[in-house]
Amino acid sequence: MRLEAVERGHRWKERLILGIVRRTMGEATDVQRLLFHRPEFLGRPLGTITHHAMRLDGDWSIAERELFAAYLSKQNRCDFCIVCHGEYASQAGDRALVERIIRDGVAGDPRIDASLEFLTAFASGPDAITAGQLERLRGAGVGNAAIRDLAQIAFAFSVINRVADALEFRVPEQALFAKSWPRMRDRGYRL
Amino acid sequence: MGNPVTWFEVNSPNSVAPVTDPYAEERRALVEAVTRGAGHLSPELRTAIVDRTRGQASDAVIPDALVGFVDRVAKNAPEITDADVDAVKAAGIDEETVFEAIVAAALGASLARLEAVDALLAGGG
Repeated sequence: MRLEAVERGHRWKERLILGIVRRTMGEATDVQRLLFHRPEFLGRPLGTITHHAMRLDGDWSIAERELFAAYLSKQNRCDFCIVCHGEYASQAGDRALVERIIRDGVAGDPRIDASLEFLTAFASGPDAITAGQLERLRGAGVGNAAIRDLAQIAFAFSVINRVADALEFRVPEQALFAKSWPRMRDRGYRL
Repeated sequence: MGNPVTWFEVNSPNSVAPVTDPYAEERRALVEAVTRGAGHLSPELRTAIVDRTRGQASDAVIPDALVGFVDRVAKNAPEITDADVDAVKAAGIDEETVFEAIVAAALGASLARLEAVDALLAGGG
């Protein structure tokens, strides 16, 4: 963590929450330090969007959404988020399949493959996003609402990937995310 | 910020039905918090950083010590080094301000992408 202010500049209430996290999980992660630092500035409003896209009703399964978060993070080269959401996707789905898709960028399922292409374009930049990618998604049976959900996942993690890399988040052991998964599955991303 | 809350999609030659973006209000709240919420950097400068990194013109002048840094956050965050952050701080910019600049740049780069998707969805593309 490059900024001392985000490492340990929390107000008393958030300091208390991070203390509880440390006692129950063994450690607090840098993303928790970030989101609980002045939570009204980024953590709470971004958490609302992330929770909406990752957990509320929609056409994508929880495993698919976590996979999208991990894959977008891979395109953005954000190590912390690849490990975290790769583990969450593995917990929610099939570990061997998740690892293969993240490694190769191919799922063999037209809905997922069209989504991976979209996420690659999203990471690349606004000019890389084309009508053809949306057509491919629709052709695979992905409706506009599901395209919008996919785009918000990409948006939310596009923000967090950049902040994580600019601040150089320390990447914990993957086992920590296995441990945090039941709570993340049930409680989600809202702060 | 000019995010459309509602637009119109032609479903048939004779009917025009409103299509609402269920995320629009949440996104507006995020942009509001990052650009206008309590902070160290002025709302004008935070807005200027968001606008610059989303590819929109802005009249506000971003300080020299920050402008290259926010561009790197937007375009190449994995390559940022301790020296980049140290250089910004050495120019007299405090850590809370650096934090806000990083978040504003990350938001701008991400909004640019989302707006490209929204334009395609709105255009029926």
